[in-house]
Amino acid sequence: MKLSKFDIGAEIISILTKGMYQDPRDALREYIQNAVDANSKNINVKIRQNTIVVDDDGFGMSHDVLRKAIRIGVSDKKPGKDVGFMGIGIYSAYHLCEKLIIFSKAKGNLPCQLKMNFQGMKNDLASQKELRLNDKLSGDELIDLQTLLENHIILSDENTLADNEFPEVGTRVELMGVEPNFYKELNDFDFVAGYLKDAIPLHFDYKQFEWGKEIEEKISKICKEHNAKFELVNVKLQVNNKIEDLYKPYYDTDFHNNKSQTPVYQELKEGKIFIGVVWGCLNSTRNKIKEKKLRGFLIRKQGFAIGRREQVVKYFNSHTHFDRYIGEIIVVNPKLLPNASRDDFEFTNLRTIFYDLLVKAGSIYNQTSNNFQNSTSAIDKINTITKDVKKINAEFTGFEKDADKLVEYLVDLNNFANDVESIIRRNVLSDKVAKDDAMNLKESIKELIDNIKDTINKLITEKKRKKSANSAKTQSKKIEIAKNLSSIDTSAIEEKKYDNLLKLLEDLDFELDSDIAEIFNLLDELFIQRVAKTKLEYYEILSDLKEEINNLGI
Amino acid sequence: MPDTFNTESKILIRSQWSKKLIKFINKKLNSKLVYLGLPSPDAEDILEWVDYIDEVIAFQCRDYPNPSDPSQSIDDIQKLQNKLSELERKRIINNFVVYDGYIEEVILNKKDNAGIKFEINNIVHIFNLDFCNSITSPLSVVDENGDVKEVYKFDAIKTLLQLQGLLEANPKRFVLFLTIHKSYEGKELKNFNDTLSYPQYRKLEKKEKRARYLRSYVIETLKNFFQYHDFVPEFLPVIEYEGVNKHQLLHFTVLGASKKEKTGTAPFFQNIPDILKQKFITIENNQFVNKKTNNINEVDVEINPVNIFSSSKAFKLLWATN
Repeated sequence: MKLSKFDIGAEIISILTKGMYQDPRDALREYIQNAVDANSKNINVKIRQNTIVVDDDGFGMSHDVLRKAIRIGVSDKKPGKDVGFMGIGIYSAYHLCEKLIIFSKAKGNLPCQLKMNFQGMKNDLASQKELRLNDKLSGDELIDLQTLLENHIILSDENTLADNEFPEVGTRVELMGVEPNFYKELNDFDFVAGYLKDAIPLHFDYKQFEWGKEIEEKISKICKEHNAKFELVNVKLQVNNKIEDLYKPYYDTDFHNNKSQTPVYQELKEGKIFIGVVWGCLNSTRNKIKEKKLRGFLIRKQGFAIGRREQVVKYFNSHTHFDRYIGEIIVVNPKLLPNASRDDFEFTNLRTIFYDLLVKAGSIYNQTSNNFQNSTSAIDKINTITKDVKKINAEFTGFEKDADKLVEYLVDLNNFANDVESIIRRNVLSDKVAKDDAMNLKESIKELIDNIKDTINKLITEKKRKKSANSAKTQSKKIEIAKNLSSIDTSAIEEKKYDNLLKLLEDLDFELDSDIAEIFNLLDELFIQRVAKTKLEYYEILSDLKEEINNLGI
Repeated sequence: MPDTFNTESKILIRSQWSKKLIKFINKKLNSKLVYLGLPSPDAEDILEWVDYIDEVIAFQCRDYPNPSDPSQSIDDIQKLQNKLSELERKRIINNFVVYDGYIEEVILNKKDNAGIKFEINNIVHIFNLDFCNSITSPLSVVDENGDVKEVYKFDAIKTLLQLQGLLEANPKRFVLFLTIHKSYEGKELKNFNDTLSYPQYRKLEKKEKRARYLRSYVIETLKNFFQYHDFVPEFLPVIEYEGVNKHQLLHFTVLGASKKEKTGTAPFFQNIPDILKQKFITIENNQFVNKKTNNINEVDVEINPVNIFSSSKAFKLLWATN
């Protein structure tokens, strides 16, 4: 059986375009993609009442090329080399406006013009629908696609346009009679700009993002080494009278402290297969990026966004670290092609390799973020300890008489020393300055401990002199206590701290009924506590008593 | 509404008066100019001056002189857009925006009938306010709260100068062309006229008297607006001419240059009585001439606008140097 042109109904144009370009901004992106494919460096997008213009300085089209652009599902663009290649993009504004007019001029050619009357096509389709509803038209009589296009598309003959009609090389796409509902949406500068900033291959705003220039240069260099195409365009967006140059949407202010860490780059490469480069800047604190929609990594194919950032988190395996980055996955491999809806790549083995590489890259970014988290936690800890040590240092004098206080200092300082030692041993400090700080802190603590020990020794020596009446045994015991104290076995000191006589007896496993316990309490209060001038002396007497009771061998 | 406001006189003013000044300013500023005005659907002004224009900010109402209504035809707006789009495509101008509505309603409501926000982002070099109707008659418009209010063309001019004054770029230099209808209700200017005394006008017939009162009113009012917003005004002689349907029109030309004075308003280098002693310029046999009026002694004026302006103190102090 042989098919004819009547086997492709005209309604197909509506079905295809409606399905592919649901958001009116998709049509803008499509025309910008065409401009990028034509090697444009500067693109102007102008949205005015009922009219949209996309103007570029690309190669432009000769009459023949413009003729070919009308075809549906046929494209001279090379899959992989160019962004668009499906041969439908020129119709992307079908639902958006009444007319599409294209002026184009290629080097050495006269300008040419194409007029597409979308409203005429829509009217024809609507009227035949009406006829069908009223049974006045059979299915076989429906208009075919070719006839519909022939009726409503006018390509100017060669050489009919004078050079001054479109004097410079490039292309100008005019969307005339934009549907009011679409215009209402596109009339909002931020709404359109926000979309385009993500969707198209723009430069960074070097003034607003300190790493912008470096990232562009680094990616260009890597791509050049692999003979891969990486190009960016300047886009000026005008919505009525508001005009701005568009840049990628990254600003230093999106990061806490208004700065990010140095960018980290990962080449996505397996053997000889080079897929692209990832860049990522980690927040300067252990927080999420301020702007929610910018958190994480965005996949771009030749500058055009593929899907959304949230979809990429699965390859990073952790929202915690993913949300602390701003980054992009720049895919340049010509064989990795976007799918029709541009929310992912076409399913191929290369796509599997790409995602495997992405998982590896993701784990490196996770690790980097994790290391940073450990390092900053450690630095925070070091800073807190430094503050506390400084406080002790300021309070402590060599003339301190309060032994309790000295013991407390020693307990705290020993704990600090252990913490600092642990941080140094774990080697989590990424920064040399922080490492040096930790070492210095360790030394400071040690020095302070030595000073406190000396003071305790002096205190004990003095006490010994005053208590000359005590027995030699007791005396030697005290020396032992002093030795113990000076050895800074603080856990032992802690053990000696019986709150009262009963606790001591309890510790020695004496079972006392309530009357006897009351008597011991009285003995404690009336005799022992009155003899001890300080808490330390009280602990010493209780320790001596414990020793004596033990010697009784009961 | 007439198909066009074009008359031979209008064309002469556009090509032999305004164009000469615009060319001079273009040369002086060494860059193409930003135009703001009411160019009509055929954009005749723009086409005449296009060699010196880079950007156009245009206002186009739908059904002149009726109040704006969304049900009115959008054809004039579309026609102007297409005209300007063609100039843009041909790379003759760089950019344009067309506001849907009367200038006073768009400027004072801060948006047009299509919801486009009105703002000025660059210094405007040519204000072409070709009103052709009475400056003193208010226009009833619906504001953003849905209330009907009366707005005057002078309120719009005041706001334009204010916006121009707020822009950061310097130096700010521009020309303002203002065309108005000579008629007005006597009572509208009564308060103003009562404060002034021009005994020499008493002998004049009604129409002549009215033209001079209107001139004094416009100059006094614009002078205040300019100075208040830190611009030094330089008034050129006023052209009196006949428009369509034999309507008598007055064409004012004011050059403005920014000069911020720490102590108060910008200076004024002219003398109002001297300006009011000037003869009107009028058009005879397609040529500018000094208008002869009986019963009054008025001073002859130069009819080349560039010569007049370039010999002014304002030019020497504020324009001749960068």
